Amino acid sequence: MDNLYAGAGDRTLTDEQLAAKAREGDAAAMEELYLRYRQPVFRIVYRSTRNIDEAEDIVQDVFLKAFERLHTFREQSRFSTWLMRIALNLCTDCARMRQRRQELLEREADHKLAWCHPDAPDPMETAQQNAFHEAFYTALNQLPDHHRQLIILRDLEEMDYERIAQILGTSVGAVKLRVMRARRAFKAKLEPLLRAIGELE
Amino acid sequence: MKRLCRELERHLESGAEHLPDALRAHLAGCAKCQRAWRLHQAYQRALQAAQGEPTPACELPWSRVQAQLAARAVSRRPLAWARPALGWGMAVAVVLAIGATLLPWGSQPPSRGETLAQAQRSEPRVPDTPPKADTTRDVAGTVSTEAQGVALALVDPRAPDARIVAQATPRMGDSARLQPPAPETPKTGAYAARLRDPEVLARRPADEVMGAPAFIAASEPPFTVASLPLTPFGVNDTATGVEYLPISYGSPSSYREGSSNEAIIGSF
Repeated sequence: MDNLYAGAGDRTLTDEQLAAKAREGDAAAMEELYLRYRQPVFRIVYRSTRNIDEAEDIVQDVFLKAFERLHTFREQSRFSTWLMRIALNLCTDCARMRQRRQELLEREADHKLAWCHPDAPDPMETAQQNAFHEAFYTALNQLPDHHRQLIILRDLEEMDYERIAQILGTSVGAVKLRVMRARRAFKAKLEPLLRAIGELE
Repeated sequence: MKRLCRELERHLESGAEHLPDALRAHLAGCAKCQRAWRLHQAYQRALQAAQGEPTPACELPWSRVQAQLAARAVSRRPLAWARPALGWGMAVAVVLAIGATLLPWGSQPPSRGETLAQAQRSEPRVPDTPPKADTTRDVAGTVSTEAQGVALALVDPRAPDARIVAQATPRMGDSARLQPPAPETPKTGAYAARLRDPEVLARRPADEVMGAPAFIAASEPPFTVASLPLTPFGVNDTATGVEYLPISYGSPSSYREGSSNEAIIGSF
C-alpha cells in the first residue's frame, strides 16, 4: 500500500519544510507527511486502543486535525512531537468515550455482561491465549489517561525523557516524577491480575 | 531497615535492572521487599512481552484521509462568508439589548399609592357616596381602607353597590396604615397616562389597584360580593336559602346587634 503513494512528496525536505508547504495547501507535502508518520502514530494509538479499526479511525482524525490546524503549528517543537501530542489527546478522548460506552453497557446489563468484556480477565481464556500479555493490557487500560500515556511513551515506545517532555509540554524532571508515579499505579493494578494467573506465586 | 526498604522501592520505580549489593543483602531478609521485587520482575517481563508484540500495519490509505479533508473543507466553506455576517448580527443584537435595557429608565412606573391618588383625582364622584367611606387621610397620611373600598367601587363597573363593597373590603392591619405615604411627585409619560386611564384601572384586579398584598389574591380563592338590597337582613336568609356570615367591625363595646357595622361579605 505504501508503494502506491511513495514518492508523492519530496523526501529530501524536513518535516518542518513539508509542514510549511502543506500549510499553503500543497497536497503532495501533506501526503509525504502522512506517509512518514502514519505508522508511528498508529503504533502509539494501537497500544492504547488495542483495536485496529478504532486505531485507524483515530489515525485519520489525527491527520485531519493536524492538517486543518497547521496554522497553529509554530515550529517551536518538531512536527512529529506536535503530531504525537494530537494523537495522545485524541486517544484520551477516545478512551473516555469507550469508558462511558462500557459503563452504559454494564449498567444496561446490570453487570451481567462484565464477564464477557474483552478486557475483563478470564483465567480460562487468558490461559489459552497469552495470560501474561492480556493481564498487562488489562492493567494498562485500567490506568488513568495521564498514567497510561506515560507508560506507553516511556516503557513501551521507549522514548527518552526529553522527547516525552516536549510532547507533553513539561519539564524533564516532571516527566521523570510522573513516570515513577505511573509505574507505581500500574504495578498496583497489575499485581492482582498477575496473582490471579499465578505469575506471582 | 525502613530506609533500605524505601531505597529499594525508589530503585525499582526508577526502572533500574540491577540492584546494589547493600540492597541485594537487604532483599534477602525482607519479605515486603521480596514481594516488591517479584512484582517488579513480573512487570519487566510483561513489558518485554508487550514490546515484542508485533504491531499490525496501518492500512489506512491517503486517499481516504484526502477525501475527508476535502469534504470537511467544503462543509466549512459557507462559514467563511458567514463569519462577517455573524459578527454584524451579534453587534446589532448587543445594541438592541442595551437599548431595550436603557429605555424603561426614562419613565419609571408610579407607586401604588400614587396610582390610587391619581385614580381618585381623575375619576368623577358618584353622587351617592356612602357615609362610611372615609376618603380623608389619617395621621400617617395613608388612605384608609374605606376610601380604598370606595375607589374600588368607583373604578369597577361590575361592583353592585359602593357601600357594600366598602364595608365588605377586608381591613388592612394597623401596620399597613402606619406605612409612610408614597411620594406625591407627579409622573409624566405614556406609562403614567396609561395608569390614569379609567379603562385600564377598571381592567386591573382590585387588589392590585388598592395596593393589597399580592399573596391575598394568589392564595385565597376569589370571593363574590353578594348583590343584595341595601336593607337590613338577618344572619340566615331563609328565603333565598343562603347562609350569610356577619362580620362586625369596631371594638366589642361599640357592637350592637343589627347595627350598621355589620357587613355581608359572601355566601357559603
